[in-house]
Amino acid sequence: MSTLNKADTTKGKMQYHLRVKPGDVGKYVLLPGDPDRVLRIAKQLTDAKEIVFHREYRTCTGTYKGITISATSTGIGCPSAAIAVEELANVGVTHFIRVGSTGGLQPEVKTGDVVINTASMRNEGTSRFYAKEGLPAVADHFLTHALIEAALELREKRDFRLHIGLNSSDDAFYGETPEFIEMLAAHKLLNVEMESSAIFTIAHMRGLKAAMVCGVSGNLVTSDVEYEGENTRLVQAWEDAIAIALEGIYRYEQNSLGTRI
Amino acid sequence: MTTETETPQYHINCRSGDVGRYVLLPGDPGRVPLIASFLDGAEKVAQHREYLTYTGTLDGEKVSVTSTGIGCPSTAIAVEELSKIGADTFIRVGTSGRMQPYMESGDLVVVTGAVRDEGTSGQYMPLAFPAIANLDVVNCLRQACQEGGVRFHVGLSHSKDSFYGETEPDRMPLADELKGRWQAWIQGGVLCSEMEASTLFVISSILGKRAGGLMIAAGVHNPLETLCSTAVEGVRRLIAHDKQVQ
Repeated sequence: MSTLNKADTTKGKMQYHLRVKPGDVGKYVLLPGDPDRVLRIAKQLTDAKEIVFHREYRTCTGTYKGITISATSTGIGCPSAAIAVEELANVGVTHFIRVGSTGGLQPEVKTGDVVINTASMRNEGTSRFYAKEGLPAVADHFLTHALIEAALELREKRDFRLHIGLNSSDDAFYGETPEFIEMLAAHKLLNVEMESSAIFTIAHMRGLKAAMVCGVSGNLVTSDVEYEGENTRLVQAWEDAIAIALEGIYRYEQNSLGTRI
Repeated sequence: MTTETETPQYHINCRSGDVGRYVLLPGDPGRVPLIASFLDGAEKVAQHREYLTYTGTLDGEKVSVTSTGIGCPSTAIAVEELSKIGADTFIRVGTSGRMQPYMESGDLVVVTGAVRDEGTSGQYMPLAFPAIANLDVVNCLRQACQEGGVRFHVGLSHSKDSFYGETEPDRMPLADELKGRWQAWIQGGVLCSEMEASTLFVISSILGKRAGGLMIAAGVHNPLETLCSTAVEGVRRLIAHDKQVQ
């Protein structure tokens, strides 16, 4: 009896959880948590088509200014996000941009703001399987730089507040006690969400690139949250984050310092 | 002012009255209709993100099925929000990896407890706290397996946060540690590996709810219908048990 090597059996083929295969997706993929948000991203793409929807993973592919770009939902949490990154990498994706919702941890990070995160504190269980705890979960510098440039340009046209800095990824939405939130805030983290540190860590370990731009859903230190009804400020922030991610990819392709080093 | 239970829960989009006391929890939304087909008059009540919910009845008692998505973080959210709107008994139904050589592909596992190899339950409780299933739930699932004449085992599950960290350890810098831990679970008699049970058990204990799990040890032969019908039969027995105790 030999141990099954899932890498050999799935690489370059139809993937087990996502059901994507080579050719289905571009080199760039946007990663929202919510499958519904894949459709919101598709509206900002040209000729977007739904490829497949299996479990929490919905994948659409289209183009933006001629570049093939896909969007795949990760579901909530690092365990399912890790599966998405691994299987997308198996079919040729090299650049991942998480676009999602996040809770503010500093008073100035308010509902509807946009945050670009440069690195994540690994308060979760998934990346521990990939790397020792001291390894930082860092976004790719060049991809992040392109996102910041795109965000500054978009801010000229749309009025939103932009924050750049560190976040925390954790595993328990309802396990975020006041003490836990205060601990995160004391570390000068801007925001908390549930997927980025695994995405950054796995991209790093596989020699790929990842970055993140999120909309702020509420603030956990001022208790400014909207869990009922439509959070219109958050919806606008998603639209802004998606526009920044797409234009960021275009800028990265046009003038990528990363490809010249 | 509206109370918390009258507005839909933030992620699962269900409100009070939408679900029964008893909720079956598959990971895959695609499996919800299959499980619901073994209930009477089941209908879809909500769908949002990875959470799809159907509600029907069994022997006149309201029973629901809600998908949790993959992993403990999304499972914790489902259990918390279902508890807020009246659910008090949770049965995880899903696929898992076989861990013992004497097990065959398609065997069922009645889960009595789980290894907490994940980050979510640790945010609730120190690792010294055990992740154990409710004894009545275990007994009813075991009886359903016995009566159904299926091959089954009763024992521990391993709940992990990384699917590929377990299945492809050799490419990880921590390969030796990952493989050593995996061997330790096997030597400890753990039957199957999956990604949700331990958090379900720990949160249920904290909230004073009951939980259990019926897993299929996946392989070439995966009789999903048997898994789902046996789990529903277990719930039927639990309903009868609860009525007797009353």
